[in-house]
Amino acid sequence: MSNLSDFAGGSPKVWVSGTTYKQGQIVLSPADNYQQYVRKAAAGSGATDPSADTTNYAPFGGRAIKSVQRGVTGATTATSTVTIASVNTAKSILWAHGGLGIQGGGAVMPGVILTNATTVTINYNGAGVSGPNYVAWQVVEYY
Amino acid sequence: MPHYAQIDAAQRVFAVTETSGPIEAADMIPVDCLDVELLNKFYDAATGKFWDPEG
Repeated sequence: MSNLSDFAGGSPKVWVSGTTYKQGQIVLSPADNYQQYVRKAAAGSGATDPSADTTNYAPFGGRAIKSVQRGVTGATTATSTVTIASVNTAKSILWAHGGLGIQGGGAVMPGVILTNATTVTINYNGAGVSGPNYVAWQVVEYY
Repeated sequence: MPHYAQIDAAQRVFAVTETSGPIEAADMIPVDCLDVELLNKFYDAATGKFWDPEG
């Protein structure tokens, strides 16, 4: 049976286990902060939340920012590891805002890496740098 | 948002960070703000103060 919103538009509804959804229908995931997912499979129902049901659903639309963390590191060694609050690395972007080090008489750009959920690594890739060499960075996590 | 000065084994501040939540670790010293002036200073755990080796 069709709903009026199928023809006239309307806000997506919260996904409910066992309810049948049509292909192309957009639902809100209770397990993922009510983010939007679109049903990509043929019409059907299921008991798995869309955020975990990659066979039948795909993320839809933009995602809001969940958290922002930032810092400045003054490295004096080839590698520095900075601790951050835990993020989902699959949904996070690390931005490096410049940084230059002196290494063996030459200038080098550091690598700034989101190593894992709680670690940002500043890497000058080689022997110790003379410094400190400052690098600014931000980690932006999305829902 | 919480702010920290992260220190190395020599107690020198090598990073200042603004995090999205609290972090409890011996090398993460809570500070008031993202103060880059703390970089390269040393932390005195006994007094809870930072001191400048050049000052």
